[in-house]
Amino acid sequence: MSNLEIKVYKNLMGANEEWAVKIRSVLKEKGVRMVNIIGSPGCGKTSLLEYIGKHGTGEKTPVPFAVLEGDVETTKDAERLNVLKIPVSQLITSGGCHLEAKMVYHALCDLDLDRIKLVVVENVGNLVCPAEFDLGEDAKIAVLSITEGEDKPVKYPMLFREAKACVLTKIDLLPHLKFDLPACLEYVKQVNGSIPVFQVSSYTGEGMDDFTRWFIGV
Amino acid sequence: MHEYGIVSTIVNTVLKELSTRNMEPEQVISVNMVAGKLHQIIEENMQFAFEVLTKDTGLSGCRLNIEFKPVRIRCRACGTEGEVSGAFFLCGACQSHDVEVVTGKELYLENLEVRDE
Repeated sequence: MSNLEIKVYKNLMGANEEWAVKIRSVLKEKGVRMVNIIGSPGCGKTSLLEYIGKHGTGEKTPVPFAVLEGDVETTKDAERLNVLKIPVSQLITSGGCHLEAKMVYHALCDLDLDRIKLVVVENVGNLVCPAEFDLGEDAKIAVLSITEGEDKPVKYPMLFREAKACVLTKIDLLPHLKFDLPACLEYVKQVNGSIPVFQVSSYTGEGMDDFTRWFIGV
Repeated sequence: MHEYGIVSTIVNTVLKELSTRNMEPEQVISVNMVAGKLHQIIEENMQFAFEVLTKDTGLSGCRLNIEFKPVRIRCRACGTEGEVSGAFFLCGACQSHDVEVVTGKELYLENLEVRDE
């Protein structure tokens, strides 16, 4: 009796990647782009989308986008967007802390992709797990509210490293909080020196036009 | 990171490999995987998940070995390669932030060591 080595070389994220490839194929065929918005619960992801749905780029240009809304429970966020006539599908993970490509693929196929140019995935509120999963998107966007503290880019580096842009929300609260903005910008730069950082408030509208123009042109 | 999900994929893959070779789970001595440090996998959690998911199966008692790959970056500005230990991705030579990841994103099952019976 002797020992044998069986070579396997199996990618352990392979199943998710197969679905991500299918998503890319559907998006390419329909000429639709997709962005994946990731941030903590309550950082203002849905408010960003509400603002864009209401105001567009500020130039009265309609922004035809649909939203795949990921949440652990309830349809509350989808209801907020539905009021604004934004096509939205709610994905409830029932405890799951992130969206995976298989769920997104099926939800994507239920959308009328001939009538939209942009699909926005609002991921489950979480700075860790969603960053790991390729959903076939064109870009991940890291959303950080200033109430969370300036150190989050270095505490949760993977998200900021994977993202193609960072959005700092709730900047209207800057005068009221001990938030070190220059330090935060430096932390983002240290983790990922190549991404733009948009400083916005979906409450006052500050910075939203610039972000919206970037967002719809991804 | 989701240690249980990864370990579940490992166990299913191992069983499938064995089945295609007409081998039994009891023949497996060790399961060997590679994980880049960017995945932030915790070895303790992996071992616990492996123990739980193989308990009362033919794989119970075999070892899970994890080779961790360091995070290495290459500077796009000056071409220098180097290892990163913390969150800061910065070229050690010219301090540029314009860097690409060379290793550290791996996550795969490499091989199985089995008794040849």
